[in-house]
Amino acid sequence: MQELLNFLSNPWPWYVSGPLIGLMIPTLLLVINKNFGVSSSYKHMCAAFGLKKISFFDYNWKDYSWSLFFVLGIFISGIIVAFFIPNPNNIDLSENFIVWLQEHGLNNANGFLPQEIFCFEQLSSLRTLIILIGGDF
Amino acid sequence: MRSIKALSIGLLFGIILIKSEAVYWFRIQEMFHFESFHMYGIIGSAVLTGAISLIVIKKMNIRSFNGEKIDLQSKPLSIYSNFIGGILFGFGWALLGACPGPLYGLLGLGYSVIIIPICSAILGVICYALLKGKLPN
Repeated sequence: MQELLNFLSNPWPWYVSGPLIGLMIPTLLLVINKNFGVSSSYKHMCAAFGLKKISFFDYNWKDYSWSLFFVLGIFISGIIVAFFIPNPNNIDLSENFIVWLQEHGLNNANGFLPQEIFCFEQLSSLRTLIILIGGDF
Repeated sequence: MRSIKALSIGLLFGIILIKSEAVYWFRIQEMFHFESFHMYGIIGSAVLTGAISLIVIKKMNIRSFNGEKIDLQSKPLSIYSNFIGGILFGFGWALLGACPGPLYGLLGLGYSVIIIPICSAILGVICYALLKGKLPN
């Protein structure tokens, strides 16, 4: 059990995780006969919120509710990893890139995101605002 | 039942995604600096595995687990739209260092500030919906 937990908490090499990600496509097709996609969940959310006045969202979102459950699953997976199988080590970044990060004032290459940019206290900074709002717009 | 299946596959996908390190801001930025093969390996092998699975499903007429005909939605190939869309997606990916799927995972991992890019993504879809009629598609 401990060994399994160790394996799960360490990051996997790309040749393991890459094909596993690719296999999500046939898994979704075989199990629930749906085409893989995450981005459309944002559209279905709008439809579920009832923005029916806009014709783009005027369809029965319940036909696509699987998409919302799918992304809920991704969200819950984050909670599970954070509580049960967190990665204890920093990720293995290239030396050059670490130097580049330090030159740009990012000294903590631990965690998933640089805390210097991604935090609520920084919201007043234009840089963070542009990154957070522009990025997925 | 389908909802529970979708949620479970989302869970699995999320854990693989986090373990692959593809949700790390640091990995994405390292990729855009051409400093590591990691992300290229993941994306390349994922696309390859996905494509091979689809070809196998199509050629062998494999049915879903409950016997339905697999519903492959083939989209018309539009090189122009894919090119423009790809470039815009890349801008967002590089700016935020995350794409739509990992956002849900990061939120689950406890980065509450990610709620801002998620809202921004929803806002982006709404803008697209409003502008859709005015765009050449």
